[in-house]
Amino acid sequence: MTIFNKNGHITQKGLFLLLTEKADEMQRLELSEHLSFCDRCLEEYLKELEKITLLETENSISKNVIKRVKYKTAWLSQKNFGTVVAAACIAMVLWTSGAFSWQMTLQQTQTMERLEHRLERISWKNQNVLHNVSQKYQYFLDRLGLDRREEGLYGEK
Amino acid sequence: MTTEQWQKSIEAYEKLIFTICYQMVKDYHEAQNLTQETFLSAYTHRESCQIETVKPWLARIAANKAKDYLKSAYFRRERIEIIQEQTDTSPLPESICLQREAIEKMKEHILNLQEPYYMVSRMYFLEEKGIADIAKQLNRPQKTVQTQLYRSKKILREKMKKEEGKV
Repeated sequence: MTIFNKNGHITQKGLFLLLTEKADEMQRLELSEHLSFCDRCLEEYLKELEKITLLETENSISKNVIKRVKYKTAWLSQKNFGTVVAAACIAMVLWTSGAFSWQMTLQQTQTMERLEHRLERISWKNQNVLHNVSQKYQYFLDRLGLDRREEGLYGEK
Repeated sequence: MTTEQWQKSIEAYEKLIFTICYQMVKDYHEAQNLTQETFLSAYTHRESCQIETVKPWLARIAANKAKDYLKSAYFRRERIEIIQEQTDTSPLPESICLQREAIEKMKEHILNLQEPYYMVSRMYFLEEKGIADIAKQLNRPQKTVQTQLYRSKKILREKMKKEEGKV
């Protein structure tokens, strides 16, 4: 039984075999293959389908499909949200660790070294000044104590 | 097509798509799966479809899904057959064509092939045209031409085997 004509289109016999579920596996493969790209034959097939009673499923397919789409959409938005959060976290970590401004830190360290050096010198100077001041203060106190003792001695006299 | 229109199209064409899938795969549960897959694909590509052409568009997706399912089932079985036939040293149709005595016989077999294999095989084996050319001339997708050629080679090999058996 020929299911295709010389031009390669599905014959009435071919459509009949498909509609009456009498086509064998190879014929069904050939027919579905042809219907997947041929507008003319698909139109013919749809016209023929209008003449027969369509099959019904036990469970509603639409409910399942809508449920699957909702699940898929929710999963995708969750995935997108997760990606954004992860990207933000990584960016924050890199930012705070200074990965985006490593040249600046080099300059900063050089400046810091210079500053430290100056501070060291200043602190030495300060230390010397303080030492001198404390020495002078001690000397002053010593002198003051001595003077008072001398005054006492004279007072006893 | 908007999401709402897509939702309405499921309710409107659920039975039609299920019938198409069932007529093609002849398996109740597989037809249900393919129907779901069809509508999911339609949802993914809903923006490329106009509401006026939704019926043939959905039918085409269903035919494609059924074709892919049948093709994978066919190739699974084919692979097993090939493994079983590995000890068989019968030559491939291409190599038979090279033998002068067999050329005429092969031509006869090719010319006696039926559609959808006749034009594809004639153009490929006898007119030595490329797959891209054949697909363009016959207005068929290249992949379809390739699988049709693959199957026509199998048919020709079986016919040649029968010939050898007779001799």
